[in-house]
Amino acid sequence: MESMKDNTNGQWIILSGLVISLILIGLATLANQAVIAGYHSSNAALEFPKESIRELNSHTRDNARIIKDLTLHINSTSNDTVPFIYEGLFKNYSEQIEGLYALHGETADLTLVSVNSTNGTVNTSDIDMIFVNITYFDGNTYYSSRPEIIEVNE
Amino acid sequence: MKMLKDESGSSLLFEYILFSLICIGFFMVVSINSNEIFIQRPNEVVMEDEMSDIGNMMSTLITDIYLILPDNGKIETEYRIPEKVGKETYIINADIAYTDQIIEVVSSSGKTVRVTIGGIATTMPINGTVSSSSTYHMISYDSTR
Amino acid sequence: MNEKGQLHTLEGLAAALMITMTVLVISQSTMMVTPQNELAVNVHLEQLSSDALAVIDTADSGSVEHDLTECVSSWNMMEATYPASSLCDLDDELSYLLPGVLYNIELAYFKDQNLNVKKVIINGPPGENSVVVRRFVTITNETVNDAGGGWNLKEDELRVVEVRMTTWKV
Repeated sequence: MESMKDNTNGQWIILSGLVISLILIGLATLANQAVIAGYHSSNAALEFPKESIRELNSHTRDNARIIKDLTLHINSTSNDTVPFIYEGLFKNYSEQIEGLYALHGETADLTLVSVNSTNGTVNTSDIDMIFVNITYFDGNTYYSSRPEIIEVNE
Repeated sequence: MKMLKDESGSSLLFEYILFSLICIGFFMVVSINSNEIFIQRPNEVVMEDEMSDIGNMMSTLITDIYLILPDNGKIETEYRIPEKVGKETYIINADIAYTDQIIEVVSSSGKTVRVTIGGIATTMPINGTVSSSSTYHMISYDSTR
Repeated sequence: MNEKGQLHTLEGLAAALMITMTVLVISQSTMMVTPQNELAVNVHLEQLSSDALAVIDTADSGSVEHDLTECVSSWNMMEATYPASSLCDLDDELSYLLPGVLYNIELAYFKDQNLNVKKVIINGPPGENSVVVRRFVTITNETVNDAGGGWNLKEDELRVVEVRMTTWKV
């Protein structure tokens, strides 16, 4: 015990111990802050169904054009009128997309309102405006666009 | 350099009294300021973090909603916010969004954190205040009104 | 016991002061740290993944060789088995757009009112913190014929296919 009490060597070890402990305190504070920072903002960005709604909207727009092309194609070999074929194809499309959204616990509803043409000849390739009602609900977020006006004349 | 050479100190009794006085003084200072040092200061830091987090959350939500606004229709979204930041309730104030392009998060003691919403309010009017005392809240946009 | 040692006492006082000051400085400074928690990483990954799919879906034929509709249309209806992929074009494009990210791709679609979910690209079991992004494509007999796929659709049929991508970082 006596030799320990009188021995005053080892300042460098003690000093480095102090420095290391200070560095550790700093790092711990940093790590703590990084963990708690930004929970709510990240969670909001993840939970909000931005891409779902955007995709529903933009895919419906794309599809209105695809259906128009297909309608005119079918119309050339069929006796049915253009609006009649268009309605049938759109109903088929909306059933499929509603089913695919339902798989993820989201309600999507697409309803064709009307097929329009600016110069009044709906029965030919002049159709240029499609009105569609789009509704979306996932329990937290409700979105509706009624009507979404889609120009199909490219 | 006489001081360095002279190694005799004060008497044991006087040293004891001195030490006791210093210790008592130190203890008093610490106990008077302990609330400020150990409770208020960390609370302030936590509040600052959480308030800017919540402000960023509102800004994120508003920006996301702005991106998918329907031309004719409406959009409503429910969100949840914590009841308290640190130990205080707070209010989210969006009424100054139109003039200043910011959202304020104000705690009950008056601490304020401001978050920018990047000029969205010039094209989409934003208003409303939210109090943290109720948990469920909603942002609603209706382009038909 | 002796009565020596003022210098040591002074040194002790100085050290105590230093420690107190350092602790005060650290505890009072509010540090700004970029959020690195799991959720923030997930937000980033989700955005990256959905952007990659969006780029492939919407890019015109000059910038990517096959867009998403063509890739899906060209599918030969064979499910992939690990570690192969049955949609090589899409796999190539995605691995270029998502460096350092692994992904699995499934196609979900309704056929005769029945749901089908088929795995087409498998890179292994998804790890922790994986995110799922989706994109829809519509294929018709015309797109299938152009791409030479095996969907076997009727002339007046359109099929909505959900491209479901699970991504995770290694």
